[in-house]
Amino acid sequence: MLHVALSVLGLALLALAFIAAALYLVQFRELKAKRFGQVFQVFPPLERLDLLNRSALVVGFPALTLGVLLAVGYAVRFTGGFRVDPAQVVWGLFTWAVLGAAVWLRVGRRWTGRRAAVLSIAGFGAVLLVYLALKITTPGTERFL
Amino acid sequence: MSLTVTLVGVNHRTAPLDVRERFAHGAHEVPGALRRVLEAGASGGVLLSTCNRTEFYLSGASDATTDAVWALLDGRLGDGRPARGYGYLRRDRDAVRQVYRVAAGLDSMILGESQIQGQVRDAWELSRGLAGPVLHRLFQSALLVGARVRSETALGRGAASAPAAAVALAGKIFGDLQGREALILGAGDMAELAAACLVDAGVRVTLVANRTPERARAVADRLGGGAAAQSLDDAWEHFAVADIVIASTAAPHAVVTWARIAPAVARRGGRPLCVLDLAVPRDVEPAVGQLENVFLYDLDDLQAVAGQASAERRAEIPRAEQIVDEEVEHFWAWHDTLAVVPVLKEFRGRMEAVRTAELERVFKQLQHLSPEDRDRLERFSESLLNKFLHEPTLALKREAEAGDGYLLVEALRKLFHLEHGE
Repeated sequence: MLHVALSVLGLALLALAFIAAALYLVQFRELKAKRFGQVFQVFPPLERLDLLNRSALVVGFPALTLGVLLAVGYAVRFTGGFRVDPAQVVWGLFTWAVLGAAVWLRVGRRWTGRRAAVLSIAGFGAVLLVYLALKITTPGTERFL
Repeated sequence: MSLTVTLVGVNHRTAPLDVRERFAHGAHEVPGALRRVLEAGASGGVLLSTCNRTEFYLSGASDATTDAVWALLDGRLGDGRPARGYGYLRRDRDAVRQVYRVAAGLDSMILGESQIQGQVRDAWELSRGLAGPVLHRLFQSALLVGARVRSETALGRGAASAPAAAVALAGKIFGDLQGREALILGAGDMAELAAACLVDAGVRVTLVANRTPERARAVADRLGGGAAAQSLDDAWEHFAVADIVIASTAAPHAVVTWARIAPAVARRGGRPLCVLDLAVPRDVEPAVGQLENVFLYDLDDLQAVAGQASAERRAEIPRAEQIVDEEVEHFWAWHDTLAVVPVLKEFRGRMEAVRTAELERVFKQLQHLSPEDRDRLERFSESLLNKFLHEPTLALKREAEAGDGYLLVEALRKLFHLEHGE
């Protein structure tokens, strides 16, 4: 069951990173455009959103990775292997690569601010897209992600 | 003893700055000025003097006392103009309402500002030895009213002045300002004021750059935190590290140009930079605001933020005034009970005298009583008197709190030929 907990935690943190990034972009736009309305007053400060996004991404990505790896391990050990559409594996790896790249750029290359927010949104968008695509094309296999 | 509350004062609504400046009393002048006024006849006084107001609160003041205040202010004006023309006189409930409104920030130039709360406290403390019980209670309650208005309404919320708006804008970019580094360009008053507000919020000023290094040095010393002073030309490099830049040079054209700072900003690695241009004409080229992660604001923007907060604060005025009204009635109820105290005291004294006289008489007639019996009789007389007086005393206090104490005091005075309460 650990793989489920880790995967859910990972996805939740990625969703949080996505929300923080979206709020960041909106607040950024308002501040740049010198609009001091409701968004300016109610939304959190930019740096705080940036930090939240970074933390969620940096913890969420390894959690999800570990969760998926454990799931694969369990599948191999207890059911004697499993059958998946190679397309699923390819798309899964693609998503993982996008998220991994996002984490690497944030941590390794110290990306911050707007491009980091865009990156994070792209990463979460990829997860969401692949999840939905798999759900539509081959129902019942989405647990793989 | 007269228990009236009188206010003689001048504020930013009634007098121009050059007049208010002359009326302003430094902390060391307050006790002397108060003593001079109290000599004309008053039981207590508190002097509240800030750059926006000079107000004498007096208890038990007569016309001679208020005249003494005007004479003192005439003297400070010093050019033959009568100070009376710039001021106002309020009595009792209106005087109480005024100090409550002042403490709440309702009478401030910047509506709802909180500095006045500290100034009211200081005035009370400076005048403590001369305040007397009524004003002591009045100022104590004024501080509570100020705190109540700030916690129960949004009168103190938002950044309602340009320097406060500068702090609010920086806060929306960086969140916590603690330990952030600021660079000051120019040594204008506005820049120093805004920088001082940022320093209060935890920002460290690392560098002050000015055309004349001596002025830069002076500003840096006043802001503290070990800020360095430099000429303007050496400042551009610091755009790579500072978090906040405040510009207010006296230059006739933009000195902070895209070409001068873009190379340094590029080395920031995407970290945001907040540039506050407080100069008129502006110091920063608009193109600077196009740089990624540079947030550029000028004086108009700060005023827009402040204006918005002011509008929101104005909407809170009715609720704040309602709290003030409630508290004025509250204070006045206490004040009314104060008026019955001397009458009650005298009434009690009179009864006590009767008791001891009658006891003496009984003891003379009953010489055979043992000391224990005399003691018992003495205690009996005391308890009898207390029981007789208990209900009337409570009734008087109750009526006084409800504001109708006057009738009963008058009745008591007539029935027992008391002197007080006239």
